[in-house]
Amino acid sequence: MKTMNQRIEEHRIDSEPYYLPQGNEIELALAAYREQLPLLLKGPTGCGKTRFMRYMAWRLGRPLITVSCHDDLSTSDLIGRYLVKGMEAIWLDGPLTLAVRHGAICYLDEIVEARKDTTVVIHPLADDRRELPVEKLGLLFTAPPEFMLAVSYNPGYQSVLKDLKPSTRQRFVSLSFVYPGPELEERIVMTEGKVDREFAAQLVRLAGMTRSLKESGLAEGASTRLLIQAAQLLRQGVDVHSACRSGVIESLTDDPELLGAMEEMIQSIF
Amino acid sequence: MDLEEQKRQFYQLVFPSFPNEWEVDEILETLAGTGPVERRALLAHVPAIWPVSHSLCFSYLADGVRAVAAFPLELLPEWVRQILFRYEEGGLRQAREFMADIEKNFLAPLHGRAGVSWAEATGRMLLYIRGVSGLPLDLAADPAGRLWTDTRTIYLPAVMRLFPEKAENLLFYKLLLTIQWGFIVLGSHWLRPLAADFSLLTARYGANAPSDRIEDYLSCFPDPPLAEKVYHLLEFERVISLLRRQLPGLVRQAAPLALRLIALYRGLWSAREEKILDLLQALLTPAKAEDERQDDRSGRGRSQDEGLERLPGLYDELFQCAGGGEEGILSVLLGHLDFTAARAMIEQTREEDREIFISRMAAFLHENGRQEGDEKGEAAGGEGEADAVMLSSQARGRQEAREASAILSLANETAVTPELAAVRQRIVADLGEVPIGYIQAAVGMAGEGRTGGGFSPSDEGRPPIDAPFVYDEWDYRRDGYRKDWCALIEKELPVLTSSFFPLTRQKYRGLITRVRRQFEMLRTTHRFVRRRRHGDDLDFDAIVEALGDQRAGFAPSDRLFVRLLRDQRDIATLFLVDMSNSTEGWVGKLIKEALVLLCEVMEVTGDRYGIYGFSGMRRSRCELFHIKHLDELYGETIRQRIGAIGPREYTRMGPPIRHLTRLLQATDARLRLLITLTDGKPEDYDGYVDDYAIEDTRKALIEARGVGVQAFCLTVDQKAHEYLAHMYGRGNYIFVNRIESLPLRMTEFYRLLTS
Repeated sequence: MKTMNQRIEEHRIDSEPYYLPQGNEIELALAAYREQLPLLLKGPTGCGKTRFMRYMAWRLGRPLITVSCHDDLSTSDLIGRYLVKGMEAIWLDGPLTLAVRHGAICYLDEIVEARKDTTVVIHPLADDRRELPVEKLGLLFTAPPEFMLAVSYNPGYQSVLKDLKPSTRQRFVSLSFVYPGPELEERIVMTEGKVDREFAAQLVRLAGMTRSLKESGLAEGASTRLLIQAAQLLRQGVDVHSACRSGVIESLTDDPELLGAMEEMIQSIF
Repeated sequence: MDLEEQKRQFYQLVFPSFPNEWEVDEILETLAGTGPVERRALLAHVPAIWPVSHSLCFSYLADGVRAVAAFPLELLPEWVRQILFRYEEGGLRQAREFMADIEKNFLAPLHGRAGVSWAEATGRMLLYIRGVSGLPLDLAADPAGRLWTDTRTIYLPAVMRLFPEKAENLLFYKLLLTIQWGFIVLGSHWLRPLAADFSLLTARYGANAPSDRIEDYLSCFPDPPLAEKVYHLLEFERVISLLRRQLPGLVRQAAPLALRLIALYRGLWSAREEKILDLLQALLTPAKAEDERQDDRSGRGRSQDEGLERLPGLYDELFQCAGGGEEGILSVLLGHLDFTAARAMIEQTREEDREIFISRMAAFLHENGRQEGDEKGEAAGGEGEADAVMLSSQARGRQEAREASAILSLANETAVTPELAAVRQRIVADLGEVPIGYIQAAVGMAGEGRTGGGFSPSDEGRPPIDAPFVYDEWDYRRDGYRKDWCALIEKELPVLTSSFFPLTRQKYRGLITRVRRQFEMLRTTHRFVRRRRHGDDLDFDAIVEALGDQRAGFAPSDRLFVRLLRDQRDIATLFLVDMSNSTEGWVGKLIKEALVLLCEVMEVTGDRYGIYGFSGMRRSRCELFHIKHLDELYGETIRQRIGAIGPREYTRMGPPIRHLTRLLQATDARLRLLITLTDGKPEDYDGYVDDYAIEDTRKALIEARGVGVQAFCLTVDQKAHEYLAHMYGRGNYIFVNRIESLPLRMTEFYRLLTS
């Protein structure tokens, strides 16, 4: 039986991704890696979870295979399937099998978006067995020590239909992410958005103000990612008010009153 | 139309009330002076105003006769909206004052001749200042038109008409309230002058201040009002420099307005006022700003003490200029520094924080102590446990302040509640550190096994009661249930025919259509399900896979079809509505409107849902009002029951939550939701207050989750309270502060929860 040759090298990260630690998350993740424990990253959108995983993959020198979960994701999508080529059936590894086979890091982004019956396939991989049974191949893969499983989700979702099962959740070492403190965030916006310190500080101030509106009806305040986005628009010559309006506040809400208040903030800051 | 016919119509409009006949006669006589069209237009608003206040409704009709003569009928709904807004804000008096002068209060602001009214600006500005400050500040219109703050609420003039353009007036409003925030954040109200400042004053004027408060310091000057003005000016210098650093856009846009105002004030008053105008002008001109930016590069602006050093000098300078006690420009731009109100508010906040901290910290220590006891394998429960708590508490009680704060930071990293962390952060921001006294008090309270104050259900020790439904109640002090403590009676609401339903449907017609469409999307989440045995189309992936499997020697799957599936939403939801007397007025009305809107759109989803109201008094009479059972069909009777919801007695939340949990448990739905709609803290007559009530409600919600019922709460209140997160659990509640948005928020909330 043939197996399709899949290039794992494409998933290797060659240059160091820019990441500023918020606390001891790097040490924790390294410790978990050494002890072969899976990671659960939780935090609001755009706070640096995916970037953190890219950084860890680079730091550990392992390929990173990312799967963006959605509700149509099937077990075969994760594990693999047979394909027909000419007169032959060829096995194609799914991202999870690929990662296990090559001792890579498999990162399931926004895992709550996947159906719960799909996510249970990670259970035997996520405990001390570290096994992945592949029925169709009749094989039981045991993950090498270099393999790591990581999942992420945003606990801000209020839908009760989108929550992790306790049996899934309780297999992980959990790292909680929040938006970085003002100085750190300033440095991130400066570096990633390639803008000067003053503008970065103003953007961070705007983000802080929008985050204060959480109790007043805004589902989530501006993320670091949005700030970088606004900075990039500015770099392209977009005027500062439009950059903040289109890059930050319009992406937060459609409520005219909240938009009005945030517009006042932009007018006041810049 | 004859008088009898009109009277009949009026009684129909206000049904089920039955006002005095002579009152109705009187009002109809007044209306007789208007034309039939105007009369009909005026009466059309009676059903909206009557349930809010009968007296207001009579006043409205009396003044309405003048109103329909003064403006076209199209403006009538806006006039009514503003009347109701005034009533909600300042009661009958304020609403009557508003109605008294139609030209000045309604028409002039409407036509932009008099700038911006408070009502227009408040929504946006409140969100703006909360965002800018990160504090739960409130805004209010000052009845006397003054500008000031007690550090929690900023009071502004009710109308801003200093500038010809509306946008300019709005911008000036924004500047004024941001300046007030500046005074709050820089602590201008509670500055403590240094000993050196006082000795300088004693040397100059021979006066001794009774305390080191700023107001006493200022009263030592021969002309205290002038000293206050000078202090205010110097503080403004710090504020404007703060605004230049943090909100440069605002200063750039609004400073020219302030400068225009200064120009207007020139030559009106004394030489002293002229001097003040000079000083303000210098602070606000861009050239000055440039200098300051140079100054600020190095640091964070001038400190307060530097300001006081300059105070006597500037005072002398102004004292030499001729002048009296005019209000002048400072009262317009900077407002008034009300030290007494601010101090009272700060002390109140500090006291509230102290109480919250002590009770939450004690609960935390108590909890932790118990866990430690368990871990040590001591006898569970009984005296062994209590001893463990005592020991660990006493051990902590002996620690020094440094170690105590270490406990706190340790606690912060472990399982400390968000509420405790937040209050600790506030105390540290206010006082620099958590005073050791607070910690000792908490330790003491934890040691005594009580973790809160102000709770003592008055009928302690009385026997349990028998009734149709009897529920236990959680007593957190004893860490256990009081057996068969509350009696709950299910009652029917009287069916009432009223115009409430058609009016509400009319009012929200647009919204209902929009939300219905969104809800339809929920129902008809068409989804292609793959790998079915039967279906509408071939599943290409599955076929390829089956072929592959076959070639590889496996039995191929027969699930080769794609089928369009409509998602089965197997959801049962019960809504529990607060019917306590605090919901009287607009809150109650909007809650009812929200329910109508919800029912209208829920029908579209096909989800099963029920509605119950609750109220009652004492543990022996918790009442649950049935509005709609889970499987009852929505129709006229239910609409009438919703119309009959009205304020009753108290809010004992535990028993109805437990009862509805039991009802939901009996259903076989995959997802069971319990959504509570309330306007504040749980409270009952017999000591069911504060921590006792919060803890019992919390326990009831935990019990609900324990049996697979997802419990969520929607709270309508002026501001968010920290107990909400503790009581409902983080992420399990939303808080609505703009009551007008309740109907929309409630339906959105449901959609969000179940999609």
